[in-house]
Amino acid sequence: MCPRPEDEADLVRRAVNGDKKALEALYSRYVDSVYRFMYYRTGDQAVAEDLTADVFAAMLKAIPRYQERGIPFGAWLFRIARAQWVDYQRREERRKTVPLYEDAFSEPAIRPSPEEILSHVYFASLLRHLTEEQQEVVLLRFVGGLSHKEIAEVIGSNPDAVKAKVYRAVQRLREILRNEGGNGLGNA
Amino acid sequence: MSQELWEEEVAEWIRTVRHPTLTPRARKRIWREAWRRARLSRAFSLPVFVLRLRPVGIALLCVFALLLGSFGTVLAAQDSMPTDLLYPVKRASEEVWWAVVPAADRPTVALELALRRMEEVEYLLNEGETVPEELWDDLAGRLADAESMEDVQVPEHVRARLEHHLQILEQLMARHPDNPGLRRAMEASRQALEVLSGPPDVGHTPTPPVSPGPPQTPPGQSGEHGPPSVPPGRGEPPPWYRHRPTPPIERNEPPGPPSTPPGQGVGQGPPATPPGRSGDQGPPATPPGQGEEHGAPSTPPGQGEEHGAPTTPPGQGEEHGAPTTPPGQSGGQGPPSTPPGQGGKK
Repeated sequence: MCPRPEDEADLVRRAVNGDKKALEALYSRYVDSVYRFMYYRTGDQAVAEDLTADVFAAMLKAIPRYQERGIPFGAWLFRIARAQWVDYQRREERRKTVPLYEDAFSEPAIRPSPEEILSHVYFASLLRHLTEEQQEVVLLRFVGGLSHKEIAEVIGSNPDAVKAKVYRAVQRLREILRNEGGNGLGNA
Repeated sequence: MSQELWEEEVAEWIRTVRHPTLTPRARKRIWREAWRRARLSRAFSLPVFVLRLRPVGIALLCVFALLLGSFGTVLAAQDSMPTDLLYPVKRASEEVWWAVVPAADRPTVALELALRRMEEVEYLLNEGETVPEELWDDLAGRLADAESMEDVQVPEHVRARLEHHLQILEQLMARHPDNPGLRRAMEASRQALEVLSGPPDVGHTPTPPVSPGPPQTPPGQSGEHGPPSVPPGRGEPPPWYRHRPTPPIERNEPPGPPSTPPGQGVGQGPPATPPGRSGDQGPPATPPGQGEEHGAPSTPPGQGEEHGAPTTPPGQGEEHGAPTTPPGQSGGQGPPSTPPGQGGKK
């Protein structure tokens, strides 16, 4: 999850003015969540690294024009990440290749062990049972650490709709875990 | 179970999942790569203000740049010579000039274009190049156009240039006596100069007899020529035109008759004739700047025998070259020490 220290606004102000240390501090805070978001979307570590570099390159280019105006920095950054992901998908569709995550993640194991439940491979395989929208809100909510309002800013929706989507996604995850793991999340 | 509890339960599970992590090395690598890509993107991206212009603005910007470039090319072409790459641009721009110039100014423009052709002909002959027939034709045609302006007075400096170039052509004729184009150009130039000079009492204000007293002509104007009837700027070359004076021709005269000074009939005077005078011109009735074959029958007013000083008549002496003569003063009108208004007469 992204830490949200109180001094983030100050960091962002300095970054907007070109302070390299502030830029690096923001990078350190968000790089993991952005990378994980990309990893669970693509299923490939190398591609996720590449897209993460694209996200921060876009951030470096656009931050001089960043104005808060009610959208927090984290939401703004994930909006960039989402745009990069969409671009990547379009490029891949043009190449007509099979999405990488279909090959990378096998079907979730039946009655996974506690060790398997805590692995990122298992989490990724569970995500494949969700719709594209549900995967997106789950990742933004639980990997990116954004609030419903911030997710609404990222995906261009309203907070209530986002809340409903998150609810349905969580319900679905619980069902899968119950069906496949037998003991629900309690085992984790 | 409420949504918040479910969410918290799922969040807790996801938090405990061992997500893939980046090594410190990978973090640094991604950060470096991000900077590199950002710099690269900035280098190859259009400026922000251009992006904000939208297609119409960008199209206008391109058109403006194109016009600016074209104008620069046309400007650069004005000094070009027939051997230069930009010469076709110069000729095309002249055609445009000719097409847009008012009818009243056409003769003056024709004369200006003829002068350009003369400069080019002189350049080519000096360089030992062959002058294309088209250039001779254009020169003759422009001079013929200029002659149609009998009732319009050309600016003095243009006439001075014509005189100057005529002298140069005569010098070239001495070196290339068998060049029919050059002969044709010379004859056309002489004729044009004769026509443009007008009848003696039209283009030339009679100079009062030399008498003690203040000069009648204001300083800076020749006493032989009245104030120009062409308003300033009318018939002038366009602003992008810059006159390049023709460099003086090195005298490489063959022995014999060519020692006759230019402007007084080629080969008509004995070699001993002093510069500025034609030995066999006889009486000073020959009008200034004209050989015998074009001689006017009478002496122009103000240039009669009573003022027949042995100095070169106005407009005849090539030693008073036109390019160095300031506008408003006739090129061959006496030494610089001549007081204003006396037009080179003693």
